[in-house]
Amino acid sequence: MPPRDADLAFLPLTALSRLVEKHEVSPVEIVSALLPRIERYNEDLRSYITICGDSALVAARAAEDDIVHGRRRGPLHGLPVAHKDISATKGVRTTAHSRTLLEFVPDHDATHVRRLSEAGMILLGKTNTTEFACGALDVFGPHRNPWDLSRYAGGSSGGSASALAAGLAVAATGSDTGGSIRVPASFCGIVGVKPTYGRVSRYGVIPLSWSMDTAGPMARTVADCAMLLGVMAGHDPLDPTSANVSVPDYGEGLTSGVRGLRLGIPQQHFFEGLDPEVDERVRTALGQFETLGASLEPVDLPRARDVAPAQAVLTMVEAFAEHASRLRRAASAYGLRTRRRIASGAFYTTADYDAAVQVRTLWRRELEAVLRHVDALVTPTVPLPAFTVEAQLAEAGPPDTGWLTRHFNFSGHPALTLPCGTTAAGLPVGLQLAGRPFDEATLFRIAHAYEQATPWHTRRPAMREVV
Amino acid sequence: MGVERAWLRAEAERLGLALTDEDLAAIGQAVSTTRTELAGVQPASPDESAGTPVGFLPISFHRPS
Repeated sequence: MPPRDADLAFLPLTALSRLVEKHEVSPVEIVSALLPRIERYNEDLRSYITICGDSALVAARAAEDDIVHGRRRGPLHGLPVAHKDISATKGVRTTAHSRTLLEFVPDHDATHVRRLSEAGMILLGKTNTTEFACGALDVFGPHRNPWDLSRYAGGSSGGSASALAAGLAVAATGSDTGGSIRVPASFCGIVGVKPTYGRVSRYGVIPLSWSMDTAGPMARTVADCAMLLGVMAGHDPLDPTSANVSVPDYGEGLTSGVRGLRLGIPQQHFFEGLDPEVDERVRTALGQFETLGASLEPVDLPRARDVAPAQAVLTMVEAFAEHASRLRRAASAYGLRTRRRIASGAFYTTADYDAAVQVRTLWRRELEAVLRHVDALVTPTVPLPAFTVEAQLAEAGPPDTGWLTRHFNFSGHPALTLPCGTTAAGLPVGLQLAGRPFDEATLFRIAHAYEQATPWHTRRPAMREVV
Repeated sequence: MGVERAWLRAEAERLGLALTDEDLAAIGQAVSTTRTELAGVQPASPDESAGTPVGFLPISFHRPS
């Protein structure tokens, strides 16, 4: 019996790919399963800013015709994807959730958008984000969390995360400068990957901080993210910071397990001041890794405590450099929080900048030394579960959600999050893995082993409030 | 580590930024807080200093070891 629409909307990308390959499900059926759900739930969730329903159906029919006639391009052909509305999409408006870009229709695709499109993926829509991945939610409203609509989905790639958790997308992309893929993925109970800096081209991604911005995949399983990153990654001459490093087949080795691997548990910063339920779920996950055959090794990373102010200086200085001319022209068109955060970059001194750069050098050296002795680090992703939308919008500002994630943007190392449990209130908790440069494959291997041994990736939000 | 409002206003004018007094007050507070925190994490001695941050090319310019 073919899967029902709701089942199609929640099937892993890898499963959908196999069904399409065997001609048991068509791309039209998949897109047709998702569009009514978007229509039903998006007004409450605000996952999407722009929905490409008609063009997605046209593309799905074309993909179906190709596949039926033996012209299947590969495992992603005919599968829909949602892109964060900060990635340029040719002919489709790209707003970055900003009044300053409401009419912006790019004449090009971001490189990772183009690569997924060339692999046959279908653009389903553009997902919500904080303005310029940095602050305000004034124009399209806040993206809400499918596990509890009074809660925030996390930022800044929260539209992609909420769409995946709610079954309004089967694959998505995001960008991450201090945690913007991993934080919403953690809040919404999905998988999100911040690749090594330079692994995925930044071309066509509206910049926030040139030295830390990273585009990456988001999905409901580790294998899905691995499949997406394999296509998104690779050298791009259009991005001078793109790395000319070969991209492995991330599917190979995914099932190798963790027996014999050494997992570093930071003794400073990463386990301090956690919400008790987050602390308990993550420590339970550490025990699970031992059961699976990995060894846990305490590691010292005292400079982790130094990262926050230095990363803030670099982010805001680089953001101001990017936005200076637009801010001069149209400061009042920016949302209040975005305007103040980005403009603050103008008021740091060269001495501040140099001090921040030195902290980064010291942090990276410390991290590299530790990662010579362990295969990956394991930490919580966010110190607390999703908080309310009111807390996110409060004038005083929301809690610092990047407290445990920004370290790996600062250094450039790869990191991912996957769900490791839920709180008593039913809110997801995320587990973060961070590894050696360009070794996303080991992170996928570790994450997949944990995922397959636990039920968290199979859970769906009830979404009773929306019905 | 405080940031004087007059300096902020003059700097905003020099840069051509149309920021309100409320904007400048919030920015001054944020910059002051961050600068104080940053001063607290500086290397304690010259031996700990990273020196000139030449190791600071983006990681994409490093080859995996």
